[in-house]
Amino acid sequence: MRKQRTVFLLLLPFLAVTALVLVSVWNVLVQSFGYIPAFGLTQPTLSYYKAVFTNPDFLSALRVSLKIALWSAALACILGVALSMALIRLKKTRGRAVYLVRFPILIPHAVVAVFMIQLFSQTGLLARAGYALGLVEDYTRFPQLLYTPGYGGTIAAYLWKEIPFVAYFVLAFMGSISDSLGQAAENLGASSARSFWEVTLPLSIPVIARAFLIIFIFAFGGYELPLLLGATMPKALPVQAYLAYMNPDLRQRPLAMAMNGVILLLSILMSAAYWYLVRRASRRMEGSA
Amino acid sequence: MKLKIENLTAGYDTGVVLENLSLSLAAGEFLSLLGPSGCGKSTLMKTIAGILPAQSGRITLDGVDITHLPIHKRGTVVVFQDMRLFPHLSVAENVAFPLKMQGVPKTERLRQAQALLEKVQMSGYGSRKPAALSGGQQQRIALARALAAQPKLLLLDEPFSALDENLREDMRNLVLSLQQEFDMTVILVTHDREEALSMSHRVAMMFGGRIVQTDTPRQVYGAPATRQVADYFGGCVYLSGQVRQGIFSASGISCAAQVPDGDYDLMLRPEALDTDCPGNYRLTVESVSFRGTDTLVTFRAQDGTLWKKPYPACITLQPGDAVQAGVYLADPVLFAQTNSTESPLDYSATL
Repeated sequence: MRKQRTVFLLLLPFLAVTALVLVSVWNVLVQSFGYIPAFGLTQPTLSYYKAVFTNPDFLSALRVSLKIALWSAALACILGVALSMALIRLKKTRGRAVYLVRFPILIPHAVVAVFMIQLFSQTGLLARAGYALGLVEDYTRFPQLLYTPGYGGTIAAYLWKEIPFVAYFVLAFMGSISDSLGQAAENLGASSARSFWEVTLPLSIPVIARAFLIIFIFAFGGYELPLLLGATMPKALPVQAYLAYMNPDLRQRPLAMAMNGVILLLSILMSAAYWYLVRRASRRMEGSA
Repeated sequence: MKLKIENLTAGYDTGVVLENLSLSLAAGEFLSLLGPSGCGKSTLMKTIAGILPAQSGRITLDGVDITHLPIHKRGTVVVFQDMRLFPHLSVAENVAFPLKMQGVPKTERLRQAQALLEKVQMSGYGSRKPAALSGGQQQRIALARALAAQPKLLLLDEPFSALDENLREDMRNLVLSLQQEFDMTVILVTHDREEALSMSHRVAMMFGGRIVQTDTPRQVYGAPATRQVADYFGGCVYLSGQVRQGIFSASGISCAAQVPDGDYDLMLRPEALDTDCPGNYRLTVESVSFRGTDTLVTFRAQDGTLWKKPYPACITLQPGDAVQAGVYLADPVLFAQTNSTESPLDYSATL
């Protein structure tokens, strides 16, 4: 009995936070169906969802956010895995090298945005250095990376933080696979490159997929970087949702909540797809082919 | 010589493990590296396989210097203690893996894998995943996979230690029959005395990163080069005595000895004590311990020496019984006495 009480007390902070999150999610969903009695909206309806899905601004915001999330997650995974393998090959899987890799993960996104502006804007350090070295005739000739509809600056900022995140996230797992099964593959005649492609990489896919999912969902729902480094139009989905939320016409609140509902739904769908794929992969590994 | 290791030095960041080690192996030979944990036998195996770089020295295989070749170009294959089967591949794909690396077309490599699975009595398991197999079955697959690589030298790293006793015996027989069938050169790394003695053409005894004796199993057991080697097999008894003019004598025992005069310890194994043939050697039974398949009887000799000898389970000896035994002294092993008061090393507890 006492043991159960201790366990309950230890779990209490987590349960309290989870309860708050669930209440917020419930609130978002309820409001997204147009039920806000305080504003005189008492009739649940799907019309706000219909409205967001027929709104061209919302659709282009959705496209922008999916693009940012996909490019950030995919490139971060490819380059992070490459960085991780380089550390494994150099036998630098602990100590100073890993601290150095971990450093960008600790920097807040807003600070990364400032770095990006200082480095890549047309009056930034790189533009000035290019001008000083005679590589560009004028600051304005420096390639525009920030505030463009392609969201290159936002993706680059995510990569700056997430490549080390992926490398750090997969390092221990890939290191142990490489040291045991990768070594066994080389021992059976595989070159180190083939050992990576045939054994280490396929076995690390679940961990890499988890890193991909975390980055994808984070970048999909990320607000600061698209706001600070992105174009005025089209906006990223969270920026669009925030603006809709801040609309002085409170009767438009369900529209903002429907946008949040879509973000939430897509995140849940991604998690479910990931869970299904990982379960299928582990079953295939355990059972007969 | 198939394999020649000359003055090999190797180790880890924490220090050198092998120093100036030399060893040769003939084609088709089965050699066991036997020694206690931490003696460097696995380090030696890893250095031969290229998993661990040699710091100095030379390793040649079939006359080719492989000292600095990458792992996959050496022609050596290790069967690891933990098998290291690829969990994402089927059993047949695991066995076919080395053939895939050699560029053998898929149908041909799967056909060869099937043939090898039959050799290790695992046909019918090709489509399963390694996780669906028992430890013994996994070991067979690891063996088949190693054979598929057609290694010039097969290295077995304590491959049977994770298996239970019955399976171990089966696997030993399987390995020996495959070694003979494929005429393979094999190095077995083990700390199991029985395994090394029963399977090998020669046994290399390793202690503290050095090979102290390489000889046939009978010689290593019957004529150990050092006390360490003698003690490793356990149950040794040392009788202190003197050699005078080619005769060793101690406690009513004497035998011919071709060593200079001096103080010596005569090393005897429990088999040398013959309680069925009355002799001049007087002992008292101290304890009788029933162990299932046999009974261990502990005797104390008049000079205080303790003997432990296994007998059939039905032995009638009782504690306190006085026994007059003969001592079989066909090939006496003498070690010069040192001033050290250190008792002989006892490895039996670690075996």
